[in-house]
Amino acid sequence: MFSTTRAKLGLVLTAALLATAAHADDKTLVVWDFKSSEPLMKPYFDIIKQDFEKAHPGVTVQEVAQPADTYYTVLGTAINARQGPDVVLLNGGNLAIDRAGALVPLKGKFADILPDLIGLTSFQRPDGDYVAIPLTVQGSIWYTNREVYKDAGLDPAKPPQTWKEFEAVCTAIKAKTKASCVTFGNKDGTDFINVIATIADGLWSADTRAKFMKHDLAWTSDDMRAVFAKAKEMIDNGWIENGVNSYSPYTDAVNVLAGARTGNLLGLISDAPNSWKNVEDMTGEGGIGVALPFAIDQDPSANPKRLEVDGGIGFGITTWSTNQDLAVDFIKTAVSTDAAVQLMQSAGGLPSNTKVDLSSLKSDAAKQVIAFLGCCSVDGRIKSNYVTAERAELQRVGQLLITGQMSVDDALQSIEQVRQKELARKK
Amino acid sequence: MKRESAFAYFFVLPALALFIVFRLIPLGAGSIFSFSDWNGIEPPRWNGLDNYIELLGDPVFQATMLNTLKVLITLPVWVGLPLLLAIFIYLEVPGARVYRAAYFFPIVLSSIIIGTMFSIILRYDGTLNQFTGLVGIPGIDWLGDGRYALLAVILVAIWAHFGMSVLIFLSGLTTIPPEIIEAARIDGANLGQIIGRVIIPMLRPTIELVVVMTTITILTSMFGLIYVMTGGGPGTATYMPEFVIWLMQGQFSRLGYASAMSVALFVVVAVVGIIQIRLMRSQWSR
Repeated sequence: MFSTTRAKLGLVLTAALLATAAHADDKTLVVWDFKSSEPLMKPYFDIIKQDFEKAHPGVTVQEVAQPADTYYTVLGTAINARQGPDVVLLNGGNLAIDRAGALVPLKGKFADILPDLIGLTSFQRPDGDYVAIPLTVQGSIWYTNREVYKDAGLDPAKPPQTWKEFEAVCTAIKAKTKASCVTFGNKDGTDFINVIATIADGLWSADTRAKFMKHDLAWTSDDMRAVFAKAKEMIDNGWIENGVNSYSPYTDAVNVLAGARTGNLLGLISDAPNSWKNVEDMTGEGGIGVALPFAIDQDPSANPKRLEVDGGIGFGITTWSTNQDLAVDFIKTAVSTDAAVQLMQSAGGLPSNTKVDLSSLKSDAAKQVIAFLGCCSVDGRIKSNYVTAERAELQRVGQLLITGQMSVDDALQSIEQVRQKELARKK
Repeated sequence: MKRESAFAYFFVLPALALFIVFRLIPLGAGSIFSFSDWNGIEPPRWNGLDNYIELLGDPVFQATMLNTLKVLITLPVWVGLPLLLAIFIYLEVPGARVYRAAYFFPIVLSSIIIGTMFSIILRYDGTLNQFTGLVGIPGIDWLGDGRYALLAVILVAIWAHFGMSVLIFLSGLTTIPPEIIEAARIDGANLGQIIGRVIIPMLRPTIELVVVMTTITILTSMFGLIYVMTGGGPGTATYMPEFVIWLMQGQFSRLGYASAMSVALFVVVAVVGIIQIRLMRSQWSR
């Protein structure tokens, strides 16, 4: 009797020890992003989690969808606490590079796949290493509502190429329809920074652009003043949809375009609710046109490469992660051809992986975007080059310019002061 | 007696420990870091009073303080409205029970839900403008226009918080003996006199409590509403101290500067609280 009990007890203890040992091998890879809660992006995040877990038994991927509009503030808190994610999703440009101190340099760890990727420069540190590996390429582009164009007596197949044509389009839309000419989502000032970058892209010479990219262009310079003057023209002429300051770029602005309440939407080329896939899904196939940023005060042929493109979103690895090898494998899964195809098909993502065949996309809008990528793109985006503090000030003053509560001079002065303060602080 | 004291300390100890660990130590650490330039990644670089000097000339911080002042000016509404409503419920106006439940309702909703709800109502193409449009009143961008955004957030915040104040006032009112009010009525006092001469003076400690609690709420707990409704904008129109501190430490990775802001906020809350209590005490003692 006693020996039976002892045997049972022994069995239970052994089972418990084995279970504990198995449990000790279990690992959780925590991934933070601001995308997986979007219905279009969810299938992609599901598939990379599934593929990675299948290839790594005992490892669980915990995907944490953070709110997009405050992602970098929440991430900053995690960085300060040295706690939280192993892998983080980042936007290309200074939003990622500013956080280089908290991110593992990745060049050596991804040497085998780097030749197959584009969009890397927007995640490149000054020493040439990379803070993240891009999943997509990204850029700003105009989407037009063909129904509004028709109602305004315009040819929907001929969206504006120049500022003058844009002016004519806005005048016609304003005169002949109830729609606004332009919309974007400027809650938090988010899209004003895109508006400014798009105008600068169409207006600046290559030299001015290069100067800005090197952070050598003062906000109070004539070149910058000319950009803001065009933005002010849009505001003063009443071309911009009323209420943009309380609209989200990713949902509200797209709804406004899809509902034929505006003629033109400043959107993105890839993996966002305001990129071709969702815009076309909501408006209906054939309902939208795609146009390059306008050439301003110059002939379009003098500046044909007006689609600025760089790495869109990418995954980085936190320095405090104890699962860095797993994190590398996870990112390799995320940029793999299979995953990239899923990203392209379900979310309209234009992958950084050059092995993916983009010609499999059949939608009209996608074909136009891809054609522009082929003929008219330039590497690097003005928008990605704003320093964090300048970007925040630009967001603030943009909202006030739209409501007429600030002059262009005051706005430029204010951003320049922030720039000077940052330069002094960094010294 | 000694044994009783020891017993009392024993019961106070857990709360004291929590206070020390989660309030006092962070406050001390924050005060120390406020003298540094620290991005949370590299070691702090001690910079003396630089952060405080920068605060004095920072237009964003100045705008934040101005907004705080504007909200504090509305304090009489935050306190007076629930006081009046609580008195009416206490005096059993018709439907008092329904009102009590209705006023309490917003308290059980999180600020994120309230913010989302009112964002839908107040946005330019939202319910309110659609409604006013029916009677020919042009729409206002309540959340996107700097002239109205703070007012909109204040009104929503008052709606969100006043239920708790009503509840506190109601519990305070139960301490007033009904005979006193009855006696005032028999002596010929009208409703205004009963409220002004009997109820409010007897409710003094509760009013003090609500004033101080509401002030702290205004200064430190509007984060959720601002976060959802306006994101602090347009411009700096709805920046409040705790929101800016959060941005500064997270988005800008300037922990030292955020700490200096926190210390400034702590001083403001303490000074305003002390002034309020002193003012009220001197007012009552006349």
